[in-house]
Amino acid sequence: MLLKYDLHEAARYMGYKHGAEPSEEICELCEVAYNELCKVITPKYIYKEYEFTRTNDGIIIDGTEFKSTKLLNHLKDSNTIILFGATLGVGADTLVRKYSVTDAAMTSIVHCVGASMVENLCDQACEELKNTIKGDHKYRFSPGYGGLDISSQADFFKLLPMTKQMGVTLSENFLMTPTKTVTAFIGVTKE
Amino acid sequence: MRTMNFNEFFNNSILFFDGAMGTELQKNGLKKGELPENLNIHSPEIVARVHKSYLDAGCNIISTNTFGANSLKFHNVNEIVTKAVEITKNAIAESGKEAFVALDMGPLGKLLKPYGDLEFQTAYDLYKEQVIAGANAGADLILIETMGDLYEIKASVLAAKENTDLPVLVSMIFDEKGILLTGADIKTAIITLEGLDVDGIGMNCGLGPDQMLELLKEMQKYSSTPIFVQPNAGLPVSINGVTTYNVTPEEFANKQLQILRNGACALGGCCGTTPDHIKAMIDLCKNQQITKISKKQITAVTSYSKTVIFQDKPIIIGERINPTGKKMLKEALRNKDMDYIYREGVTQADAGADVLDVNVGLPEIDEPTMMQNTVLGLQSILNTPLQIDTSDAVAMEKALRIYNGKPMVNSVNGKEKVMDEVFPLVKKYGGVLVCLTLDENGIPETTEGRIDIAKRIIAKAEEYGITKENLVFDPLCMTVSTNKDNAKITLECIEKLTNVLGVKTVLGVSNVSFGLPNRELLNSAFFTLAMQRGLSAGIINPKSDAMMNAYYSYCALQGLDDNFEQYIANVTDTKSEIKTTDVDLKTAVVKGLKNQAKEQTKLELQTKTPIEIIDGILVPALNEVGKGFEENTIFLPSLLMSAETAGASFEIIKEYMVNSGAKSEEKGKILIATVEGDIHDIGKNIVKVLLENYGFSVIDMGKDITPEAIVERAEKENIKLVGLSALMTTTVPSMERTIRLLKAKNSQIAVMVGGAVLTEDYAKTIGADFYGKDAMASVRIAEKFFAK
Repeated sequence: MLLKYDLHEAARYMGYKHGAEPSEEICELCEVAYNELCKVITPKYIYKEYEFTRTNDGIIIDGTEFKSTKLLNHLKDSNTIILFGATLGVGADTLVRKYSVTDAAMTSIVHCVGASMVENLCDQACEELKNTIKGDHKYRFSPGYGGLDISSQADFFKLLPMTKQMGVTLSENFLMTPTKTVTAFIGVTKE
Repeated sequence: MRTMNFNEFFNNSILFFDGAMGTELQKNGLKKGELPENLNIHSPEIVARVHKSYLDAGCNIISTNTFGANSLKFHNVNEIVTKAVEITKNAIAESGKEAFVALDMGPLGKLLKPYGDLEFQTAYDLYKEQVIAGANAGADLILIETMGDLYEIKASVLAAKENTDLPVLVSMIFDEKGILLTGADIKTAIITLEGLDVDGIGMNCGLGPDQMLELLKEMQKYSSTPIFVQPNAGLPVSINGVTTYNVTPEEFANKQLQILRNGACALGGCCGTTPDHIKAMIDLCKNQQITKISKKQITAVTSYSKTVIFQDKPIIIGERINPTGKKMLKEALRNKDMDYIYREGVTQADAGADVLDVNVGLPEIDEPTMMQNTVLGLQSILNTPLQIDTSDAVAMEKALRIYNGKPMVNSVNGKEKVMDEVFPLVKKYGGVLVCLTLDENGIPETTEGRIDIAKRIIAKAEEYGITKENLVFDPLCMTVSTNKDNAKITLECIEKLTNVLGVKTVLGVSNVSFGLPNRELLNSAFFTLAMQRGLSAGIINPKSDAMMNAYYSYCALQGLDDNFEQYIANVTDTKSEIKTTDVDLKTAVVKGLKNQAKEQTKLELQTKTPIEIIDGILVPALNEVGKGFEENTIFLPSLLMSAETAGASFEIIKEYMVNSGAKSEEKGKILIATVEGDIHDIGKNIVKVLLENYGFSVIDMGKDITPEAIVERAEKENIKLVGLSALMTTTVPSMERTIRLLKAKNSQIAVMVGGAVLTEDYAKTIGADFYGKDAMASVRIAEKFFAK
């Protein structure tokens, strides 16, 4: 899978706002960052489809509760739920660390272009998923957002083999390494 | 089979491992969500039943039910492991068959630093506990399996070898391209594992037999160690949320037969394989002939993801991380300015170094600790293999222990005492050892004398079990200024070592010109001559154009540079560096033009004092950019480019001051850190760059730092202003605790905080004195604070 990045999205992560565009020079550096990232990343994604039940303020998957009314609403019409995880691998982090001692501007650029690339990985993977799991797919809903506490990552990891299959691990504070990693719930409405 | 030696058996007969454990346990009664290892305590009969089914299938090696039995998951590791070995031994005894008991150990489920937060030593201790329990209970060997990280493998192998005498087999989980989770390819994994002297190398899980057959061919190219293969029953297929494997026992058996015929010495199965799969496999394969693996004789070093093989093309070893004759590096070592050292590493790697020499020996510093930290730091940012260069055996062992891969080691020589000290370390940890042809009587003046020492070193190394391909000889070069024949003798030695002794060679090239003017000219000519006579590796400055031009030209002329790619790239590089001098220093900083800024700084230093340049040009330039940032006309990357450019200019000024002995004026010392539990440090690093380039002295403690450590350091360094960063809501409490402790210790200390989740109000409620909404704000705070 050839990953791309979105220059506008990356620029937004870098702090460009009020319609400001990055200069030609910064755009070139984004290209450099992208090319270097392409050499070191090892993109992977995994997923697993589950049945789920609803509670008053969340959902239960295989005996595990995820509390968030926003998630509950998000899954209003869904019949099943896909647990999804994607990562660029450890190479992106090493590249960021390398630049952090030599070039602060590039550190920030690699970081932001990488963030855009992991989003692109998710987008492409989710398109592929639509071919394997039939039905109407909702947009990704991630632990740590929408009132779903970040600590739910621990339960998420019990239901999806993030560590064994992708080498993604959780710290005590529920942060993921490699850092360019996304976990998400995707609701599926069957026809 | 207890009287039978395992390794003897392994090398002469086909070894049959068992198949999947988890799914078989589930079929026999393991409940969903229950940890399989607990069965050893409360339902041993279930575990025994699975072992029996594999013994009936014909397995002659049975793995204990201890895959995840470590202290991160269990409080009673000793009990679980002891029981597991007992169950396996009893099952074998009851079956009346002969089989070995393999103590099974899997990954710990946490990534080691620098990827994750687990310390190497902690990983070692976790495995050690399992190993000791298993060995005491009577396991015949240790099977480390489904491993995806070379560093974790190293921790587990050391734990196994240092605490038992049992054979150690290591099996890895590759993806379909043959890459481990943390980036090592097959070649790198095998060379590193052979350095650690394991008894068998294998692969399991992740892939089916078809994919593993392909990977096996690659393994065969590099491994001199017996290979074992335990595939899944094909690739997993998810049907209605349930994972299944489709390869039937007959298909599995046929494919494993092919794998055996392609050179595997032992077979087994992983996920999805059942006793039926294993029985079909054993029935088909048991009467086959085993192909003994051949010795490959490769001279190679590795990092965690990269291999450098000594072949026809000479290797460049970067010499810049060595304080001899380098004032700036000495200063950096004394001040523990690690970033300076890391930058030396990165720039050399970018300039074409294949390996980096690391020598941090200075009389006034703690060399073992500095060596360890430097190796860890360089490996967290670069995958270039390192050459551990020290005469301090303690520093050498510390570095070898935590090095991720198989390093070069510099050096041993013909002195008995040194050989007795260094050889055991290299045998234990693995490495390619630089051997200097000198001994108790010094450096022989003749070629013959040096060759004799080389022969003695080879013989002695062999006694320690170190083979010739892991030795690289340095015939030493003395300056031609003291004896006109010195270069000639060295060149003769290179040729003899290469052609007569059949060993690889290495040379510190630049000694040859000591005492003469225009040294690069002689050095580069000598380098070409040495390569022509067979030199395998040159220890040189890869940032020297003259040396690299000699290297690329040699490779191009010798047919060692396909399509002249490197040669042409090198020429293009030089062109793009043509210096323009039409931009003044202030403009260069505002526009972020690093090279121009450096040149202009050198020019300015001819007429102005350092302070005049800093206060009159650099700070106003930074202020202009900072103002633009605050007004949203300039954005972060441009701000940072300007800061970096000012930094490059400062570096020139600093070098000038160090060389002229002038003292720099300090604006104020600030300690910064990302708080405990938080591993995000990009924001903090940006703050650091800006503060430093505004002339503040910054002590950066890094990320995930405990309140206690911050308080201790602040007190020790007499700090008045601390900057703390936190990105997550979950780590703000740890920021609050840090502030409380700092204030309790010293009520005068001021704290500024920043990070995505903080606001002005929030910062106040947790007791911070200042809130910096971005990096520029932290500069303003510091300026105000120290102006008081």
